[in-house]
Amino acid sequence: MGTVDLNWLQMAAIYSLALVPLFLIWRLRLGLLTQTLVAGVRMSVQLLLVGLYLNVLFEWENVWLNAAWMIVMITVANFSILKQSGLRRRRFMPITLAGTTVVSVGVTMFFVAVIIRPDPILGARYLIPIFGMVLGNCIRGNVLSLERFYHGIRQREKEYVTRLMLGANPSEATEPFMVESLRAALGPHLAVMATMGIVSLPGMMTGQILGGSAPLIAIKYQIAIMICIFTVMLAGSALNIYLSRKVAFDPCGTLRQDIFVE
Amino acid sequence: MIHFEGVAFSRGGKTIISDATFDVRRGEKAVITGPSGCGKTTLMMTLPGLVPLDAGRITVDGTELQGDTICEIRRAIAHIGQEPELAAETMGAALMLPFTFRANRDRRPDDAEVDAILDRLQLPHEILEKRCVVVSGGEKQRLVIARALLMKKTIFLTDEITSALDRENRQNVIDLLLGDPDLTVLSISHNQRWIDRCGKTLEVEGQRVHVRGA
Repeated sequence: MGTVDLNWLQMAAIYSLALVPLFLIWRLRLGLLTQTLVAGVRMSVQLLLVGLYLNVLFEWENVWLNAAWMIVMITVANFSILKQSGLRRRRFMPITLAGTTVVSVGVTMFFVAVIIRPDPILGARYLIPIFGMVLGNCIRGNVLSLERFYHGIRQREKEYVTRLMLGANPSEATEPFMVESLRAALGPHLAVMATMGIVSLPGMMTGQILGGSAPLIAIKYQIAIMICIFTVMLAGSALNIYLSRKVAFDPCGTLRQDIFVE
Repeated sequence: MIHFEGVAFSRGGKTIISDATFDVRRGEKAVITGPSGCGKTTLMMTLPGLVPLDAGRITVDGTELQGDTICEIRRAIAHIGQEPELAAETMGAALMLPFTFRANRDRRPDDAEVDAILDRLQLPHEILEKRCVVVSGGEKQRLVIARALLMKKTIFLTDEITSALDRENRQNVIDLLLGDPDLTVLSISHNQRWIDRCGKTLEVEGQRVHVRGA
């Protein structure tokens, strides 16, 4: 049993549902009308393009083409991480690029090439969607943790300097900020994990069931992807904070003010 | 000995001090004076390397302040600011915070030392159980002084530390820090009693530091 396709008329009908939030945004004067329209159009166009591109990837089944697409995904992800966390690309990009790549590619490869082992082993059908899910959550974790970490130190600079002056080394001085930022990054995911299956049926599992998979197979994949996401969120966030400290502080241990986008 | 030689620094592109040359000898008590906003605190914060220098050099006991010596110099210094920053949830945790850091673990005081310093600063022992948000500014100030003394440093940087204290406690702190011949103190104060007890005055005026006394 395959997924029921949606024809253009059905798609038009689902788009018409979006008129409800658009009306509410306008009526409640939320000031989000343009932003919502732009986001909606971007989402539609980007997904359409990626759908077409994924078709090509699936047909060609070329490892190098898959790798090239993953590089594009990582690059765009890092632009997004730094933009949303309010940090300067010039200083942080090489670091977050390295940290995000190591963690997201490592975890994806472990899941796909070691655990699932599809045929072909690095085929686009498994590799690209799983990498997309892992990377998407890596972005969320990194935005929250980097933003909390650096803006937290900036806002509570006195506390940070006091710790330094009391004899803390840079790692000890930043420890409470690191703990807070990682907790902030993991909190929402932990809440989702704790209620999964009761409050929410996750997207991957729903997609697999709609695609005709047996529920138990879908559940196994869902558990696996949740563990991958949790790993990548924590390891990616921690690694990026750890690596980025080298460029964010001067040799005196003072937080550089030019790391922030004003 | 603390030695400043031709020190210059700026903030936001504006020169704050263009030439600071002075010594503070071992055991000496020096006070930085000058009008508000003239750069007294910033001048003091150059010593632990928290403000980058545009020119000049600073040495502490012969060690020049540089990227690779900052940690060593900071380890020799106790800093007490005007507004006490406890950086902990409870007063007890704040008092013991420095001893959770690797550099100070071997200096952890025993209970008798803690009791003695609390008594000396007229702080009730039960205060250690209290959350920092519920104690007064004066008690917080005395706790950070106690914390600095427990670290057994010989160089103290103090910035208006008696401003939140009553007359009796102010005199007590002055006697404790400025009466100890082993402590080298570089301070900022507008309190005349404090200034009178310091042998050396470093007056900040027109981007320069003028040394008076000693």
